[in-house]
Amino acid sequence: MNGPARFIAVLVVAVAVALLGVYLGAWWLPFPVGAGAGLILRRARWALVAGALAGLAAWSVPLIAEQVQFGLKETSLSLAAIMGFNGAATIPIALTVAVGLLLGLTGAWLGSAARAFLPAPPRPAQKLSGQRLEVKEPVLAKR
Amino acid sequence: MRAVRFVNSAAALIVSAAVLYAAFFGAGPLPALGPAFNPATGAWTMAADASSYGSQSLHLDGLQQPARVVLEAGGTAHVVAATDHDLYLAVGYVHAKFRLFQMDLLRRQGEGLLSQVVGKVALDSDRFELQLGLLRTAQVEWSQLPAGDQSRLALTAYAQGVNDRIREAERQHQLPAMFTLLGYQPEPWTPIDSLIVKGDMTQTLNFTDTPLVMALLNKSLGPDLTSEWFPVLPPNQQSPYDPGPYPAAAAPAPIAAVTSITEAQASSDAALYAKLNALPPGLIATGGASNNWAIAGSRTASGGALMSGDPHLHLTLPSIWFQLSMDSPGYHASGVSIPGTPVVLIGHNQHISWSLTDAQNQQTFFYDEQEDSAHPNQYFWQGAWHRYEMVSYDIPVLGSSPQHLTVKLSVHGPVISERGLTTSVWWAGNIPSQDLGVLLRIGQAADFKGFRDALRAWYSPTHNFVYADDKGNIGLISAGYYPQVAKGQPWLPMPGTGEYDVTGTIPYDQIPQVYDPPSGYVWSANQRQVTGDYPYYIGTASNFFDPGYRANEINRFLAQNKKFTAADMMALQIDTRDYLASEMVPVLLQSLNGEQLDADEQKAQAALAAWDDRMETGSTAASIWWTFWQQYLSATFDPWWKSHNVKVDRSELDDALGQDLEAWSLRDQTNPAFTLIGSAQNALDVMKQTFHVTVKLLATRLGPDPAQWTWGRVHQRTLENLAAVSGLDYGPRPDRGDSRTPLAAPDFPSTHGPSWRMIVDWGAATFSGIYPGGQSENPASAWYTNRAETWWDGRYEPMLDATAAASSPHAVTWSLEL
Repeated sequence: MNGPARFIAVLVVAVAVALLGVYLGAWWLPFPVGAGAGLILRRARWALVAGALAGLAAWSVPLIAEQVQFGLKETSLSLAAIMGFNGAATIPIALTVAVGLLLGLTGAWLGSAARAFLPAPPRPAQKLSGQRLEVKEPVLAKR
Repeated sequence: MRAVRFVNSAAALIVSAAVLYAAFFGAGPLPALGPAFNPATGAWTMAADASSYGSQSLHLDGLQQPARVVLEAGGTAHVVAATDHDLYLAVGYVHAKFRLFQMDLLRRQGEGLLSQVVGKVALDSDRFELQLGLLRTAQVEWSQLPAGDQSRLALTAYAQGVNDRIREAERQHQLPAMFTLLGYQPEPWTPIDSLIVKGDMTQTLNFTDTPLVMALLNKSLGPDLTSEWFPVLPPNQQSPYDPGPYPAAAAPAPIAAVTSITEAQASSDAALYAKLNALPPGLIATGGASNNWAIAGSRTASGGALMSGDPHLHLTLPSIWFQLSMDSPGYHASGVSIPGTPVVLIGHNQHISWSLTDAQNQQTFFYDEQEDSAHPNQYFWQGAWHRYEMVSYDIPVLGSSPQHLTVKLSVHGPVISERGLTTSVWWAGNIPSQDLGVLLRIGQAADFKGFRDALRAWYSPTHNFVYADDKGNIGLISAGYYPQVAKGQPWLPMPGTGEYDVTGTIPYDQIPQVYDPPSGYVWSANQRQVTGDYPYYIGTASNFFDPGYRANEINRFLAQNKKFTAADMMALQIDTRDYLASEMVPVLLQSLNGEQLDADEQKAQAALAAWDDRMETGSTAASIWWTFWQQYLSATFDPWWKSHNVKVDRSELDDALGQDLEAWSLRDQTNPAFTLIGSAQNALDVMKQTFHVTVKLLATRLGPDPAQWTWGRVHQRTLENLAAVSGLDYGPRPDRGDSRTPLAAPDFPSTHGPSWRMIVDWGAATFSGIYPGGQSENPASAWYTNRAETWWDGRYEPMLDATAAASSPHAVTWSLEL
């Protein structure tokens, strides 16, 4: 699987697993899911994007669903009041989204950092047939 | 390159650890962010809970037959069951559905388990509760209930219903958000928890520190002044509801003159007083304020008896009350219950109605135990040394190791202070009693005999139970224990050597009570129920009984020669006429005759002269009167407090001192109490000076224009969130009334007042009630504050029966299945 395809596959799986976990009460799942993405994806930046999106989706989708189903204004205002931010309904929402995002992001970061210490996978053997190989002569500095 | 990798990994590790720590354990004031804010199972689920009240079928473990709950549009619950067992079980479920966190807080308070969930901040409260002994008493009460007893059945079934809801909420991830935010799960409910909740109420209403206060006054002001200013019988004119004649009784024990308090006693009492005063509000009774009255059918427009009740308590969100009706083959009652208990406390059945006010008699007595170093852990009582009984507790504390507590018990009760002298407390609330059974029998009574017989077993807190029935009869019984001591001065701490012990109580037939009096009405508002002819000691005027202004006003209103209606009752419940003002303002105006007044003072004088004595929000005279009275108290008594170095906050005694000041101003204007104030020699001189001060003070605080000095700018009211989250309060809003008006609104802002208003008209068969707040403790619910506005405006809602409720607009039904 090439890079973009692998990224999309990892992202889809990560979002699905994290979301399912959160719905079942395993709110922490975006972290290991992000870590897994970090370990699987070669490029750190893609791993971070995948982890962050998985965390974000896992914690935002249920929130959006509750907003659609029940409306969250009163709940958000109540949570803000409990936190000492009277009237600031956006703060609990922002905090919630931030927690999901950070769980996924830090998981991916850690996974990606750990990946650097793993032994490099063996390079795949070069495929000769059907391919045109270009071998350039080294350019000599000396003229 | 390798170094960069290491740095990157270390940074990732540190940041991840920090994020995970905050998510799992919280940070600073933040709760564990993960479980708390998890959108699917955390605090956000309060939105789903708030929307879960629609018609539905529910399966409850333990039901014997199907039952149902009808919920009115406003949230009032009507529980209908085919067996008594199912009724109590369903009530437990309903209470827990709407008030589980409140119930958990109430039991934790009484069981000394608040520290377990909030940390060290609650440790003093927990230690005190375990010392006082609500838990020990509840355990004994439960053990004394025989198998098959109605109360035992009710408590057991109720606990099962609560636990059904706990399991359901856990399964659905819909525990109240406060559990999630505080990071704990509720333990299963037990019958003892319900008895603890009852104990909490008893403590709030009648565990007092008054003897300690009296001892400190005695030490600083001296015995003579203390006995004169803080007498047993009230110095002012009051209106006892039971004027006698009283039954011939055993000769009352003579009340000895107040004697001196020793230095050691005063020091010990001061330490204990300070300890009790440092406890959270609500653990010590600080004076009651409730109203109830009834009018016989012969004096009403409908021809049936009228009854009114409004218990005045801390106004919280959620309220202490939960409104419901309960119907089963053996129990039909409608009214308000306390979440955690399976019974209607105030309400009506098909034949009778009842409400209650606190009776205020002395039920707390302090004893100084005699000890010496040769007899460690012993006290001297009745001529011999006795070993203290010891009880040990380990108080779990959040974020800390458990705190060990050993409680000593003497024959008088728990030792609650060993600073200086060892002081134990005899408290009627510690006597095991089966009050729940009393309330169940009241709910099943059909006439006054059944009502009175049921109350025979009521011990504490002593309450004035008002009664009216469908035959036009009325009555009032101040039921409970009236402890009598062998000798001594029970309003002070007494020696614990045995001679001063509580020896018994006033016989039930001789406690204050009336039935169908010739006047055609009965009333109570925490006033002393009896006159000075009553042959027993029941408490002093100071700090036990109310000064009597609300009772006087109610008596004045009900004494009118007219046929009363339910509307009259409603008007009286929200009446803001200050009886003391009606007595004192004319005297104040008299004192100003001939006095040189500036322009503002003239306006203030004119406002008072035109005033109807009502503490309405738009009244300027109300602000002037209130400020004047506070300044008058201060001008009269502060010099004494200063010169005698009195250690008790004077404002705590304003009710008692106010009675003196009222009596002197009306009938003894040259009382020596006025002589400490500069050149002033009598009450009128002090009043004149105080009036000038009052006007200047108001101008400073409220601006130069007297027309702007409205009561609503001075006086506000707040319904306080039970968990002390100020952002979830209702108010503060300007509000009418004061501490002396039938519509009670003490303090600034006022947080106490009519916690439930009920009017019964048996002639018209109409029942009305309202309490501030709402049925749900969930702040995201429409039923969190939906009744506040109606209550605030002085309006009522009809108390429907289950059948009428089912057909009321927007009612929903829960079908409870096996």
